[in-house]
Amino acid sequence: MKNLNHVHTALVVIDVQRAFEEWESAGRRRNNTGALRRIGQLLAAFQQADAAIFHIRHRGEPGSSFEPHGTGFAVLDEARELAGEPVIEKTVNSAFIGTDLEHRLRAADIDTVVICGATTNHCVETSTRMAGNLDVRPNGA
Amino acid sequence: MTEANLSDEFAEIVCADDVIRGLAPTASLR
Repeated sequence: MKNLNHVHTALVVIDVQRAFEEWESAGRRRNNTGALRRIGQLLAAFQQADAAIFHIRHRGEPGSSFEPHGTGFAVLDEARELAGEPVIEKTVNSAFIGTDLEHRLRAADIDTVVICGATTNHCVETSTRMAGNLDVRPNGA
Repeated sequence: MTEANLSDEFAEIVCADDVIRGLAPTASLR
């Protein structure tokens, strides 16, 4: 992969919340056990480069594993935002629907996004494809 | 999820190592 311009590249971290840990504790299998460590490395690299980072959290309906006042809503420690890093809540699988993420990316003159999080074949994939549709060059890490 | 599923003309699956190297060529992995 060619060099990324840290001024125009943003990291988007999606749904790294305790609900997934709770599901795993309840017996669901995780197929990429190293993902959290890698997300932490990506966050550290973007923070070190002073590049833009957007944290996306899923806010579920009452009764959902992701309901705001439930135990599953909280971010996992490995992906916790630093002061000043924006946290955006979404309610569907795309991080662009019902949020101001697109506006924030354009306002910050971001033309490339690196998208990671949980789970790849749900919210990460949907958000990645939509970033492509919006002409924000997406990279799923 | 395989690379073929997501990598297309609109998006690319990339390795975190490559992103980190591409973002800051001198950065070291922790």
